[in-house]
Amino acid sequence: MTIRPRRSATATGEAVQSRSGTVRATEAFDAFYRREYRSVVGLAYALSGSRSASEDLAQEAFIAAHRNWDRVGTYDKPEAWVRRVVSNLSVSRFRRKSSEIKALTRLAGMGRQTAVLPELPSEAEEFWRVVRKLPKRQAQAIALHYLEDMSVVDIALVLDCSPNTVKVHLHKGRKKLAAQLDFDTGGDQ
Amino acid sequence: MSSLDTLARESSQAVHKSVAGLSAPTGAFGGAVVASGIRRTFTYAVAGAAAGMVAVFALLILSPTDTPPTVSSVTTTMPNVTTSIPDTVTPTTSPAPDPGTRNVPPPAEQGNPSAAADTTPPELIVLSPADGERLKKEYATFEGKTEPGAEVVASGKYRVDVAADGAWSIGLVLSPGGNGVVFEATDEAGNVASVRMIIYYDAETTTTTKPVDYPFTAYQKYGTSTDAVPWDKFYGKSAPGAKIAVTSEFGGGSTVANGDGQWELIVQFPGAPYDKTFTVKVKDDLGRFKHFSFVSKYTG
Repeated sequence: MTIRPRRSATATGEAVQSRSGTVRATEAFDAFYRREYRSVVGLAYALSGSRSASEDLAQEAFIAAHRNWDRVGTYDKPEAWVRRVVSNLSVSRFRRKSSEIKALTRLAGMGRQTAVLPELPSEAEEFWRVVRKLPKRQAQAIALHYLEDMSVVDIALVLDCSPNTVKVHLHKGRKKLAAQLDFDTGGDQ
Repeated sequence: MSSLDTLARESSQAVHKSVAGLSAPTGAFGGAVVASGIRRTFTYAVAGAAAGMVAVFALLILSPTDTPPTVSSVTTTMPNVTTSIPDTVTPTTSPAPDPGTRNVPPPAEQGNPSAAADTTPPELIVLSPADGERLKKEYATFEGKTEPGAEVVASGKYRVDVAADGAWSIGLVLSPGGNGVVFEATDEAGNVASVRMIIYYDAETTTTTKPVDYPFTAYQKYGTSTDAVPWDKFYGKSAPGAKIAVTSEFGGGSTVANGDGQWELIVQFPGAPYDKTFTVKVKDDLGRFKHFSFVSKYTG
């Protein structure tokens, strides 16, 4: 049960190799975290529909980013990475747990004790409710397109697919949304 | 812009407005954020127990992430229910509550007046890895936060570099099995906080797979040449991907065996004298070889 520090090639004596690079990365992470937090919570909110769980989902994504910051911090767009994580968490993990958590929240009245986001206007709530019923990738593409005002190329980066695939997701998603909401799509992009 | 686009934009604006009042929970991404997240989800777990659903949610909620953040202890008080999350950092073998073995909130949270003597242990949080985490690599980077200005020492002797904002990080090499490590933070007033944790290094058991036996064969096509630049063709079999080298006094070459282990190579011997037999060596990178003879019959 011994722990020994890994020494750098030039280290001597009792010097411990401390990864100061990680510390620097952590500092950069703080700025990234503060800058992106709000919009990532918004994305989680739109895709999960949960006013109470959105911040948890966002925090989980940021924790994941923090743990991998040595790598993620070197990306050109680490914000795309964290959005990919939170959008995946929101549409898959949340669907698995949402009904149970909501039930528990109602039963115990915990909603009053936890910070929750303000309720959306009914039209907006209805819009995002329909978006959440879309297939996962279509819902993510729609949310990133409208909520984050992202280009097709940027959405492709987040969803880790080609721009053409994003266009297909957007086209199909908008078509279904229009049908569900009784709207004319006004031509697809 | 279509009606759908209009509604989508307005709905997006509504989301933006709803999160407009939010700010990142702390000035820095630290334990307070993590603790609040766990506290909140744990609250659900307690409610689940009240509803007779604890069996389901113990699994769902007590493992909120695959790699949970490290927080030593979080206590939540509910109506008629007071409980705490099992320690994820501090071993439960501690005989008595010891403030030094707990993650202590920063002084500001305790309302510590600046006029009073500082007797508050510094904040010390290990963000990763989590207590009890099992790692498959020998090297682990421990990261955490402490009070700015505090000194952190790992296992009593390894001094940890602490950044100006209190973030710290140290890489440690683990031994196979359980590795106990204690982090101690000492602030400028001499107050000490410590966190104990155990990290497991699951050394991969090396499975001794019997190497597949790929025989080495080499053949020579002609053994002689009448061309101005004498040449010959060599071929055979070895291990897939093996490098095959042909060498001689007057020339050589190399190739790589294909996926089936087959290889062939045409080698020229410029300058090889007329009617002088010399040796050509063919070998693979596994050290196996074979010798051939070659003679040039070019009379020009």
